[in-house]
Amino acid sequence: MRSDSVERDPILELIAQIQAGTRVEESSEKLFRRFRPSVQSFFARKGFSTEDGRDLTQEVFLRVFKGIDTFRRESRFERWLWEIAAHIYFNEVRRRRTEKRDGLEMSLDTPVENDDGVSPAPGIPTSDPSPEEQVIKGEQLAAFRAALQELPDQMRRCCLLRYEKGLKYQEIAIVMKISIETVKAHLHQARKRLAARLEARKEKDP
Amino acid sequence: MNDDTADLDRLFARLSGEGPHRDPDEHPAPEKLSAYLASKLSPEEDDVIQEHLAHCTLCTELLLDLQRFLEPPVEDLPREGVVDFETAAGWRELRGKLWKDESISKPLRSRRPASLKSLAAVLALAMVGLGMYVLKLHGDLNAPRAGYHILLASAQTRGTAEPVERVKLHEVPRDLSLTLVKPPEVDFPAYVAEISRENSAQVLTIKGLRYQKEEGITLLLSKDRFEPGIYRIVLLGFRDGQLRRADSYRLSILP
Repeated sequence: MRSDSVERDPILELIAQIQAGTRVEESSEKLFRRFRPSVQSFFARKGFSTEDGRDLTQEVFLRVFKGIDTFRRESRFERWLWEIAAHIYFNEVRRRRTEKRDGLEMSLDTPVENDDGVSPAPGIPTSDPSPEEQVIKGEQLAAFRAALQELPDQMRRCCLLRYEKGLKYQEIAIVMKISIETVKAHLHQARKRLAARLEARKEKDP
Repeated sequence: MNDDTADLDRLFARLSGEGPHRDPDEHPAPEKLSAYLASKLSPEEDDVIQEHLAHCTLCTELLLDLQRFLEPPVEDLPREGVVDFETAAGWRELRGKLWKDESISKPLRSRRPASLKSLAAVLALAMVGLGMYVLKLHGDLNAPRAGYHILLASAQTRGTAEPVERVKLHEVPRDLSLTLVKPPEVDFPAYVAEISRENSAQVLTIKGLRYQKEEGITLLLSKDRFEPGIYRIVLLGFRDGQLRRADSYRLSILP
């Protein structure tokens, strides 16, 4: 992982110029051109439409340039930029949730009254699990979860990130701040321990 | 053991298919996630964040985004030599908002000494005076030769607006020779001049300038590029890889 080297960082030099009031516009434009793709692609990955992503990206840079005097050149600009983008993302998610809550809500379980009287509620198509699946879900899965809980913290977290969240080894390594080799070792150990627990459970309760 | 592996895979599949996995309602602030990735938290705080991440898709993805900001893949970088019209349009829009919006310039102004307002007033008065002088001079020149420029200039240094003699302009064959005189206490091994026309984003940067004793810093300006107008020159001193503001000048070039 790259360290937060601030020495001779051309980005920080651009910011220093803006903060000093020299070449403000030129340096601001350079920063915008360099980082706009990162911010735009951030919002695209979050599922925003191109148009919404464009607006949110503009909002990020507006906030960046308005607050650039508060940026202390002690760590990388990219971190600060990401923090602003993340705040705007959180705010947007919150705003949309509120809008959704304020809108008309209809319970899918409640019968709906119409002109002709009462009609059945619109249902969600369901597929009933097979008896075998029900057994797994009810008992084995509970035992499996319990076994997972007994794993050492870091091993358990690696398992959850890999098997529940579907992260790649490389991504788990970043999130957990460990090497890929350690991730692989944790997952290998976890599978061994969980398999042993399942085996023991089978023998106890065939 | 194969059965166990199959069981495990099935159970893990159920684990991931069991859902939806609702993220926690509360999330650490982005600054906290950033500090976590930079290993600036205590072991206890680190542990809390890691546990949260193991259960929160939103924060996990945000953290991976941060890593992507720090080490951007090629597709997140501007393409060299390719004109990005969308970015150009985005900048134009943002520029309009930034420079229309007073709040952007407030922090810059507040850093300057309080006497700046008075300097601005003095400068404005000086400009009015100079403007009147220009009009008189212009009237005196009944038939100026093509390409002949009259220059009026002022320098602003440490809260005082100083008159014309700090900037000199001579016409030399095909070019204009501009000499800038800096304050004596400002001393750098090399200088950079940035010349921009009023109301234009374009800046002409002239590097590698040296100060000649008793003379000043001389720049050759092409007549083709320096059309009549008002120009601002910022003189930057260069030392130890750092550029520092040394002086600034204002030019009015009249036809």
